Amino acid sequence: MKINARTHLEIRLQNLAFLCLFLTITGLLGWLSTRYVAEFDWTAGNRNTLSEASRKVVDLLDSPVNITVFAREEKVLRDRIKDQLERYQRYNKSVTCRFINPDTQPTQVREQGITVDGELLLEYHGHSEKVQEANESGITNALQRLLQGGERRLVFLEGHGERSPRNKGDADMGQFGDEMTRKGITASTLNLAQTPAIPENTSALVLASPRVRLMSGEVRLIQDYLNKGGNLLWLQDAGDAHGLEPLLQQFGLKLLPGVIVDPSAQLFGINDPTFVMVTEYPPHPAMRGFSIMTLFPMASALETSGKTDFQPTPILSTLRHAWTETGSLKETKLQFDADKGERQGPLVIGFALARARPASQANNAGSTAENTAPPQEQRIAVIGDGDFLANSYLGEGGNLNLGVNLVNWLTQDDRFINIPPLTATDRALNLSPIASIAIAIVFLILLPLLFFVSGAVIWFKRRKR
Amino acid sequence: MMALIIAAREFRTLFVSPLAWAVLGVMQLILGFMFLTQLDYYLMLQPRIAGMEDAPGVTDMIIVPLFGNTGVLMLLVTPLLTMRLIAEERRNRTLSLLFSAPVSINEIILGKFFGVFAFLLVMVALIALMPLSLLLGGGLDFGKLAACLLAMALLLGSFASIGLYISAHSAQPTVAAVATFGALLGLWIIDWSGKSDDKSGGVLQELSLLHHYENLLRGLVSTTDLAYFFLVIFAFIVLSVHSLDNDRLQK
Repeated sequence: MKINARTHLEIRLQNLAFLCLFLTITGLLGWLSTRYVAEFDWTAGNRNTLSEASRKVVDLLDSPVNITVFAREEKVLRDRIKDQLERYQRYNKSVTCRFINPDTQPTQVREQGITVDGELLLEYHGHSEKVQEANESGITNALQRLLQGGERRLVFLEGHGERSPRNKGDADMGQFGDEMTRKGITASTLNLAQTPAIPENTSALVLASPRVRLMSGEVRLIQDYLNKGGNLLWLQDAGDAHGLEPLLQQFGLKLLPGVIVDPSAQLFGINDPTFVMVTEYPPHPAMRGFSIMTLFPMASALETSGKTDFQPTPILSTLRHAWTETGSLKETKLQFDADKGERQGPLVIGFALARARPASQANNAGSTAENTAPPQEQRIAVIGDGDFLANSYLGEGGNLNLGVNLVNWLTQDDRFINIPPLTATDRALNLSPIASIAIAIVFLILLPLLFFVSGAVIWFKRRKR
Repeated sequence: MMALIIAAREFRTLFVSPLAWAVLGVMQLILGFMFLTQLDYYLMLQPRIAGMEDAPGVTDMIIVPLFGNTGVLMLLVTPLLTMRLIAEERRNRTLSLLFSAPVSINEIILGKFFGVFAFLLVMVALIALMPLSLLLGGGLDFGKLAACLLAMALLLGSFASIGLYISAHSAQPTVAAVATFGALLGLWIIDWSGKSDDKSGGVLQELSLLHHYENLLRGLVSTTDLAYFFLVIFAFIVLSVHSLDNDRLQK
């Protein structure tokens, strides 16, 4: 072939055209490969894949779930969370996630009540759930709770000096009410003197430490509500039951006189002996997955007495050193005094009561709210302290989480999905001393030496030639 | 068929030069040391993580880091092996001889590529010996190991094909080596600037060798990652053929 300047130009143009076309096609194929993806998990036990139980929950999602991760710019932490979330994203594309550095968004962190580095905020249909530890069990159960979302209504009784879910006073429960709103739970107040009926669609009635005696008519309304199968959260401060004695009797409980004092709290730098710590929780559905210490200021003790058709379970108990102090708290040296009827710990601060829901209400509950899955049993929580959810103490230890747990238990079906963590199958490694020495010798001495010697021999031979 | 003959010759040439032996020896020494320190670390950690519920296993703790390190090391070593492929033929003026031989350019390029790739696979096999030695004292996650080996083979294939393309462009082997190293390192770290959560990082991330390599090392074999490596290998082979063909016509 004869080549002149003209053919040179032609070849050059041809080359250019080829290059453009080829790179475009390659790029296109690459793009297609990110659009149509098939993935195969080769690990033993499919450790990169969502478990069967989680997949069932994710299948029920009908609109996007937005996950916001509040994590500092640390590769290790973020990668671990991303790894978990990607398993959900691979299975269902409608799960989206974004990372936020909590240091740069302090307002948002405060608004959402984020407390832990690496906390997740899951949003679905305007409701949100928080997960502090990004493991599959935590995320899936949060999704499950979001799915059951529906309408949940807490009704706070008012008119007797109760703690209000709206006010910001130290003794009020405004912060707790805000937290309920964020979770999509409506917290409303009810004054029985104005509206002498408890609404039908109440998920749980809250008696937040009344300070004035309730009238017998009001107590009767509450009793009617309970007899129809309503749920109740009762926070009872130390002292008088303020006219609610018939309820205590119905629950088969007794309020012990006096305030619980716990000198062991001083070891933790708390100067006030009336602050009671609870550090261990029994395996009860209301306490599932809960292990943080909680703090109860000025709590009163409860004990079972008499017959009841509820099944009471103690859920919060003090340490052994605590006792109920009936004398004045002003004394410099508080002492346990058995003669005055004081009681030595462990004392029960909280009871969870449950009984099968009365038949009439069971049908009713099913029809009023289709989306919600109300508990199949009637549930009541009686706590001998109201301060732990008050604004001034809500941030102490796990108090907020305890409150959320209690409300969840009272208002929601609590089928907990147990997902055992995926374990690597190859964790055992027992090398005998001989084996480990052999491995070291072979890979560190023998093989390199073999290569170097062969190379030297070949080089030497070729030089001689 | 001719391609195979060229590949075999290329493979043999590598082994009669002391360079390949030196590379093998040095790599084995470094990787052996890394492997042993990692093994030591795991044995020290083992009693502590025994109680953890989702604790990582031998494969996660020893083998995946080993393969991660090997990827970086090969980034430095592969250019030394690929630099002379075409560049040396050109410097020794044997390229015209090759052109005039009854072989198509496709066959020359494929032969050169598979010659080097075969050598790299020998290295992969040597690296695989280390995890397998652990069978003396316990089990392994073979699925994950297979994914790691596949990832390593594909990564080295991409390295070789990029090195071949750059060698086909240069007249000096050393220049080819430096340029290849630069190109590989560039493709390795290209996604460092992009934050993982914003959109602009997405394209750069898809271009990064490291990103796809690490995805495969997790034991999750995705068609996206496989397609990326195959496309890189294929594209640079085609481009090499094209540039050599052009060379022949224009001069």
